[in-house]
This record gives sequence, C-alpha cells and structure tokens, in this order.
Amino acid sequence: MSEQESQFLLILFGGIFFAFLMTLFVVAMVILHRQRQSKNRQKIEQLRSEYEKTLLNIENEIQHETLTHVGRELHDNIGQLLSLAKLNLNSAKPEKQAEGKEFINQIIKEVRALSKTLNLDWVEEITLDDFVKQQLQRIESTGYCQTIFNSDHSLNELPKDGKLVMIRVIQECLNNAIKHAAPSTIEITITQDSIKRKIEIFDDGQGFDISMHSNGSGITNLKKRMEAIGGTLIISSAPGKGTHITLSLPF
Amino acid sequence: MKEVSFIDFFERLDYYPLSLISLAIIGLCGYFFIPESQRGKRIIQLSLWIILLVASYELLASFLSSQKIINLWVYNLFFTHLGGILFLVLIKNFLKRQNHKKAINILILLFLLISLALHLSGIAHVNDNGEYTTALITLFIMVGCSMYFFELISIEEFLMIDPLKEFSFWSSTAVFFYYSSSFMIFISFKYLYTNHLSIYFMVIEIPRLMAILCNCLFCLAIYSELLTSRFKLKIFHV
Repeated sequence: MSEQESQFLLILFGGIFFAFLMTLFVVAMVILHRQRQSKNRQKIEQLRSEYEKTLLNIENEIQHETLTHVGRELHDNIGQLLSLAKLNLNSAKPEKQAEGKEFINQIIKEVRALSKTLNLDWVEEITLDDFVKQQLQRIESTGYCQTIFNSDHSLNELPKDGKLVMIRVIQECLNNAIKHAAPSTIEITITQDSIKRKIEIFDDGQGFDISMHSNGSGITNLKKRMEAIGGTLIISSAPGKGTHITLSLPF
Repeated sequence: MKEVSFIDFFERLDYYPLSLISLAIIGLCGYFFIPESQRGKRIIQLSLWIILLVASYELLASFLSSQKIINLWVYNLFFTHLGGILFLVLIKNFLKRQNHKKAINILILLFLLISLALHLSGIAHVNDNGEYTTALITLFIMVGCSMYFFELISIEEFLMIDPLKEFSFWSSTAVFFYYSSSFMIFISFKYLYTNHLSIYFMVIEIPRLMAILCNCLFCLAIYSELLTSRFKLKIFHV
C-alpha cells in the first residue's frame, strides 16, 4: 500500500469514526430527551392526580361541614320554628293561627336557604370576600371574639377550583384559631401587589412554637393544598404573641 | 488589465455551486410565497440569509478561481466570519435561556475581537487559509449547539415537544455535523492542498455535501408553512 493510500485510509476511517461519535452523541441526546419526557409526563400525571385528589377531599370536607351545619340548623332553628308553628296552629285564636302561618312562611324561607347550601353551587356564586365576611360574622355572632375584615377585592375573580381550596384553607385556619388560640380579635386582610394576591389572617391568641408544630400534618396539609393551586402558605407565630398566616396566590 | 473569461467560469461550475444557487433561488421564491406573518419570523429570515450568503460566496469564489484570482479572502470573510456569525445567531434563536443567549452574544464578540487581534498582529491574513479563525468559529458553533442540546434535555418547554418534528433540533444537528465533520478538513486544507492534492479533492466533498444538506434543510424550513397548509402534513415545526 502506497503512503498516499494509507494516509487516505487513515483520514477516511478517522472521519467515519468521528461521524460515528457525532451520530452517537445526537442519538444519545434524543434517547435522553425521550427518557426525561417520559419522566416529566409521569410527574405531570402525578401532580394532576394529586390536585384532583386534593379537590375531591376538599369537596368532601366542605360537604361534611355543610351537613353538620344543616343538622344543627334543623335541630336548633327549623325544629324550634316548627314546634312554635304547631303550637300556634293548634290554637283556636285567629291571631295565633296567623302567627303560626307566619312561622310556616319563615320555615319555608329557612329551608330554601338551607337547601342551597347542600350542593357546591354556592361556591360558584359566592365571592371570597362574601365568604370571609360570613365566616367572621358567624364567629362574632357567637360572641367568641371580635373580628376585623379589610379587602381590596383582589381575590373576587378566582376560578371555582382555586376558590374551593381557598375557602377550605381559610375555614381550617379560622377553626384552628377558635379551637386552640383563644384570641380576642381575628383580623383578615386581602391585598395584592404586582406579583401576587394575598390573604393575611392575624389572631392575637396564645400562639405556638412553630418549630414544634411545623411537621404536623395539619399545617403540612394546608401548605400542600395551597401548593396544589400554585400558592403558598406561610405561618409565623410565637407563644403568647398570636399567629400570622399569609396565603399567597400568584397572578 | 486581465480580460474576464466567462467560458472558464461556466466550465468551472460543477454540481456544488449549481446546487447552492438552485437552493437559493428556490428558497427566495418560497419566501415570497409564504404568508406575510411567516416572513417576519426570525428563523425563516435567518435561514434565507444563510442560503443566499452561501450561494453568493460560492459563486463569487468560483468566479475568482476561474479568473485565476486568489479567492481565499472570500472564504475568510463570508464563510468564516459572516456565515459563522449567522449560524451562531440562528442557534441563539433556538435557545430559551437568557444567559445562554447572552453567552452566544459574548462568543460572537469574542470571535470578532480575537479575529481582529490575529489579523492586526499578522498571525492571520485575509488571504490565507484562515486555520485559526475557522478553528475558533467551529469551536464556538459546537459550544452553541451543545448549549442547545443541553436545553433540549433540561428545559420543560423542550420536554413537551417531539424533537424529531422540531426544526431547531434538525438544524442544530445539521450545523453540528457540518462543522464537526469538516473541522479537521478546514484546518488541514493548506497541508492537503500542498502535499496530497488527490486526497484534498476527495475530502473536500464532505463539507460540500454537508453544506448542501444544511441549505436543503433551511430551504425546507422556509417552505414548511406552505407544506403544512397544502398537504396537512407537519414535517417539522419552525
């Protein structure tokens, strides 16, 4: 073999080897891309199923709370009204019978209002501001503590799923404050800045040591729920200094 | 003054410049056929600029060579500098991360500064084979392509697509193959031309074929919208 032929073969095989390496590199990239794509799809599927599970749990919890509320209303309010109506209608006096009819009308109104809370359609109709106001009024009407509410109405245009989660998280935060903190005032503020909307819940109750409770399933659960709708939950508290919860939701 | 011989020029035109000129004409026609909204796309414009540039400088180089005039400055100026920068800008348009885009800008600036320094210091000359500048731009283009491949496997936006139906993937792969396979040939041009002319004529076919392949791909990119709307077939997404 002449020198020129051997040099040509060297260049040829070198070139083929180099091209082979390049091909291998590109094929490896495609395979790696496919693998990551598949992992990414699995992750998205998992997140979607977790999100749906969270929503389902929240719907169940809200329905459970609603049923408890309906049961209480039936027993404490409608039951009493029915007894009064029965007493009045059994009376022979016409004015008592008229009063009985008034009670019946009131019962019809109460039952209609109650029936509306049995499905979750009310979530679509109510704004978050109205919901918070209702909750705070309910707390104040029991004489448990004072409440303050400030809002710039920035969270009134939430989609149903987001609203459901926010409603449940706010409910849970208020329940926790009532059950454990014994506050004299609960304050809720809804504001927004250029990047996010936030709800701040303050109570001047007992407070707690966050390091002791940060791994608790209650707080973790609330945080996960906020994460499911792309938001965050931050708690700051100290014994004797009340609790400050910030729920943030990006635009 | 030497007389211009067009007969020599036409005799010199082989399949390579003719293919490139054909592709440039087809690409230019395609550019005026596509809807105006598509014409404004940066990638379509860059693809057109590249095929027009390659055809023009190859035609000019062939003409100068046919007239026995040194044509190395044509390759130095248009292929190494202008073409290399256009390829880098094209790759920059494929990238999603801002810091990678900035890195490409820095590479372009660095290349121009180093090239200027090499030419001013006399290490490189406008009429030499441009080994240093070619090696440098090849290296930078390969870095750019590597950035693209890195983004392809790490950015969520790329993970949502099929790379085999993406113009940016095929284009980066073609440019990567073109420059990597031609790298050794570019820097050994002088040696091969001086010592092994027959081997030179054999290996020179590799970058020539790769250049035609790249230009075919850019031409197809210009026509992609027309093909999609006419045949309801998405060859690749531009």
